[in-house]
Amino acid sequence: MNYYVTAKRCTTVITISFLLASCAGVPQKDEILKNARAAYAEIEANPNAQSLASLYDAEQALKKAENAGTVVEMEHLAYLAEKQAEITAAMAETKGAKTKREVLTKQQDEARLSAREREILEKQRQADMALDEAERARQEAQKLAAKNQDLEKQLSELQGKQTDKGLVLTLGDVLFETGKADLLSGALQQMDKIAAYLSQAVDRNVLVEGHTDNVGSDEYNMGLSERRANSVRFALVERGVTSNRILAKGYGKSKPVAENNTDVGRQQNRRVEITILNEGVSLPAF
Amino acid sequence: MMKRTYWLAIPVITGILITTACGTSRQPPTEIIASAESAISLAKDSNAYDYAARDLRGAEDKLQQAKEAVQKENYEDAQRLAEKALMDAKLAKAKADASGEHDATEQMRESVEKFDQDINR
Repeated sequence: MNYYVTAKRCTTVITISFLLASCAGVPQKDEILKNARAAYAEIEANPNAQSLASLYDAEQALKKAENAGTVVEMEHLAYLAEKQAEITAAMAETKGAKTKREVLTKQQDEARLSAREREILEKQRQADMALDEAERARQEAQKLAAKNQDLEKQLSELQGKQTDKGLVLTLGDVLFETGKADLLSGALQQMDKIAAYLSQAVDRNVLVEGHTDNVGSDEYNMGLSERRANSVRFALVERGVTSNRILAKGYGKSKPVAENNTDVGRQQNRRVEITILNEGVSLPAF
Repeated sequence: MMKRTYWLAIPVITGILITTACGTSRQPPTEIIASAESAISLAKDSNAYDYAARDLRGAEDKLQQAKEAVQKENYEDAQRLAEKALMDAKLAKAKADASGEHDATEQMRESVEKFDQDINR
């Protein structure tokens, strides 16, 4: 009985001291836990880690390491805790990257949308422009038609005679001072009309030809017809018609249009013929 | 006779107590080794060889050492090595995932910037 009790006590003491020895405080605790604590402190301060379950795991792992009884166990648990903290840090990075991507996706969507809107606006603008262009062209055509009509009217007012060469207008003797080349006011009005027409019909040239009756010398008649033709040419140039569009020539009595044996016939022969050549016909060379 | 048996039980209980107090294992850590193996394979799936090669190799080395310890019936070491291998492998996967996400985000940023440049030309 005595032996038994002693033995029992002894065993108990041994057991307790064993337990105490194996689970006593670890002297190098701070050194062993340094890295694990630092790693945990880092993720604890990381905003991206806050909602992660891994952060809780890391906290628990560190607590376990803090409470380890032996150096070996503490070193082992500290390693596990440090790794758990590093895992948490990596997961936080993953989360951060995903969040950033969401923001970028949103930005891109918005950029695409605004680009699409801009494209639509641009197309609208182009359509409007095309419409404006069409309207302008229509107005232009209308104006041109009106102008052509106007020109036709002007032309008909000149009361010329259409020939193969062009429109022939005859300035009669009464429009010149007797025996001279000076134009009278009736002729000047004609000049205004012709010049106005020519300023519009820019690709029509003009032939001015002077003629006389058979009274007087050939020399006199030639001179008079030339002077009268030149006088007309000068009047047109004065009114803005480019000089190289007009050719003036005198024929004297060589080209009568009527008999010279009556007053009426002679008066008809004393004339200046202005030929507005057809479009694009160039002046004959002399 | 009864008393004698009771007395003999005490050291056995003490042994069990010590064992439990310090977590010493008398069984091969089959489960944790399997976990480490599967964690390593998951890490490989996440391209950990490209992004976290050191951690992945650490896991593989420790797993190998754990298996060797099992063969030597050093189960306590085997347990710790397998636990470390598991954490290394998990870390390798987490790092690889993070790098993958980071790359994807950078790619996206570039494409967004390029898109912005294109439409603002």
